[in-house]
Amino acid sequence: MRKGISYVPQVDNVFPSLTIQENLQMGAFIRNDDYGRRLEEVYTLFPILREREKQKVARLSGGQRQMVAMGRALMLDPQILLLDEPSAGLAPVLVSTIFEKIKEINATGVAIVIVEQNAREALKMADYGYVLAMGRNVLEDSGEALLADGEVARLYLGG
Amino acid sequence: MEIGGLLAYLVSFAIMAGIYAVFCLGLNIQWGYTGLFNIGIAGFFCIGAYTSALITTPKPTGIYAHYVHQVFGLNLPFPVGLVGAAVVCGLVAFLIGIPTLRLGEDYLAIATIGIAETFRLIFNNEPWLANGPRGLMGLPQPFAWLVDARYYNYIYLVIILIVVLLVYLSIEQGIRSPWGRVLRAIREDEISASMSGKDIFHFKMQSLVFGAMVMGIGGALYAHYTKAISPDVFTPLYGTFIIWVMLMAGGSGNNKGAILGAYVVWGIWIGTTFMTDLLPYTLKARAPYIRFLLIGILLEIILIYRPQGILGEEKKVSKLID
Amino acid sequence: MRMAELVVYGIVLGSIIALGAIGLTLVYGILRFANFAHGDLMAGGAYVALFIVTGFLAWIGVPDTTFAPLSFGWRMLIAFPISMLAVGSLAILFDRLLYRKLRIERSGAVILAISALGVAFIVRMIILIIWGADSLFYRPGVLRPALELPLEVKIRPDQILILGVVFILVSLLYVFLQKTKMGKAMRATADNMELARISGIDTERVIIWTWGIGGGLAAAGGILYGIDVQLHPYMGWNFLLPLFAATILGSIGNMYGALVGGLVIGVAQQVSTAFLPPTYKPAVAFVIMIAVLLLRPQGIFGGSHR
Repeated sequence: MRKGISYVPQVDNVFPSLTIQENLQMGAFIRNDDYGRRLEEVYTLFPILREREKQKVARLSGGQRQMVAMGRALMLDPQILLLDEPSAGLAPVLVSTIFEKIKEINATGVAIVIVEQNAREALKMADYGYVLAMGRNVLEDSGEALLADGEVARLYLGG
Repeated sequence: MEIGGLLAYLVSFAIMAGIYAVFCLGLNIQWGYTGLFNIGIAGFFCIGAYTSALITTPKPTGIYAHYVHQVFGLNLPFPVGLVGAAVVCGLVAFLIGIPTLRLGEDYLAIATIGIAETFRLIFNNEPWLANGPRGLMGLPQPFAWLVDARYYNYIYLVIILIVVLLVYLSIEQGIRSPWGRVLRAIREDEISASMSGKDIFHFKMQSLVFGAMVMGIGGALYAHYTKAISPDVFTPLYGTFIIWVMLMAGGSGNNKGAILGAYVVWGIWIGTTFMTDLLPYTLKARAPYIRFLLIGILLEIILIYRPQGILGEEKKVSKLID
Repeated sequence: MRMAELVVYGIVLGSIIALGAIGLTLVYGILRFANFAHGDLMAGGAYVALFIVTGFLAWIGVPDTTFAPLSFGWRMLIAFPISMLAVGSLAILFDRLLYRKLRIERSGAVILAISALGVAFIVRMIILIIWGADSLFYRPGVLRPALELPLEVKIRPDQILILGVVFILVSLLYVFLQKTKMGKAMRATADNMELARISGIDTERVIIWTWGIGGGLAAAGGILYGIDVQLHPYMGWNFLLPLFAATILGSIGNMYGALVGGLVIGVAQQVSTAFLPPTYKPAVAFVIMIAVLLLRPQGIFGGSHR
């Protein structure tokens, strides 16, 4: 964290008995400064969180929870954001919302590293992609190139 | 101290340590091999002792009935008392196990505390059961007619050693068997053990019951050694905690360790008696507490620096593999 | 009506149990650790206060007056917070010395519980060594006038104060957990320690605070019990069953549940004395606990996510 990397795990990535606001506050725990400005920025990214900021996260839907999880990680103003399967378990319509948000975050200058099962969608917006098989780096190339690659398509994207 | 006195002292030491060894063997079945967290050993201690007492003494009649109340008294010989103690403890363990074995280990622990406490309260408050707080006295000793009372302990020591040996051998036999391997699998990793198709609950229950039966035998042996029992004998200290310390010290998961631990810790306990003789007069009354404090600290040291005990766990898994 | 009086007294005792249960459930919620030494921490608190009241403060000459109609005075007022601090620190010490080492070695939950059991006995032995085995009182031989309430309920001024103190302490805890940064961090860590760690929360500090608060509340409970009834070296062990029963009834990890659980157990125990000899009170708590574990193991407030 001190090196500017924030991590969002795949599951159990929020504090269910805390409110949205408190979840975000916990994200800023080690910050000694006034994080109000950062909080504002996160709320601008995810307006729906501001609406419901006093609600307990346990009551939110999967997509909203994912937003809280990412918001929490962003509170530290990281340079790199690690996302582990951000679209896992989400309904398809939410998946595109999440990916939209990821692009927005990226646009604010945060580098993003995603591990994703939904490879096609991820590669569409990726600047760069790594293909790992059995934990070893098999291929790496720009996002568009990987998408266009027939082998990759056959093996990993389902044809 | 002349030789005769010293010898007698050693014999009574060996007897008590042997009785505790039986308890450790029982706990080893439950905890060492199956991972059941039983903090209610005092309860089985109590039930075993009282059952044997009630079986082996006659029901008081006539004028005695005024002073001593017993719910029953069968006046049967010593071995029946032992067996009866084992059977009743096994039964109680079975009944306890039905609701509690499905719970997590922490819950089992507090449940066993509750049961031990409840039994102690019942024995203490229901005079019709076993004479309430005054307890039972004059319990018979097997083969007492053989020798003069002064030398009786030698005979009892032999009995104790035989029982310890028998219990040890039967447990060793059981552990080497397929049954024993399942128990150990349960302790190591309950989830994968249950996925291999064995009914975990039944194995845990068997372990609980057999361990309790062994503890019941220990209780009976104690009763006939001291010839008198009452509810305040079976305290959490002497009846549960010290046995845990013994097993952790000797090596849980190891039957030799169980016996060794009993002798070592009881030795330390007796040894500290001499240490406290050096205390100033005002502290002498507090001596047992100081000694127990040392035992408690000993346990913590063992847990941090050598949790596997002196001997550690037995490595042999199966007769077939050797 | 005798039953009303039993209920009222049950609420008083129940609030004392609740203080201990809250500490127990906090520790369990964050560390997943059943602290079998918690009852003896309560006893420890009571005896530390005894030492301060009858020993230290007498020695430095604080007057022994009482705030009539209560049974205590300045000495207890001074001793109370000091004892809470002392036992809180002691709890932290035990954690740093013992439990933390076992946590780092990844010992199983059972080994931790055995070590807690050892700590319980160590504390009890220290009490026995210093004070002996008799029952003691903060102010022996004091007259305890009782107020009469409607329904022929008698209640002592001490007991009203006990309710007040518990209310204040619980409210303070509530404010702490809801409004302060550390309080929220504690709740977050109870939810998910791993996530708390990677979010940057200093979980070691959270653990220290948890033990400090748990120990402090336990001490408060023990002192209040000592004021109301008596001090006895085995009081810690006697508290264990009601404490665990209350915690389980109120759902492990749930602070408010522990409060409710404590009150329920307290009332149940007192009401049982109408039918059973009072010595069976721990057994009553035990039976309730078994019933909860069989019928609704997640407690009153537990969701099914546990």
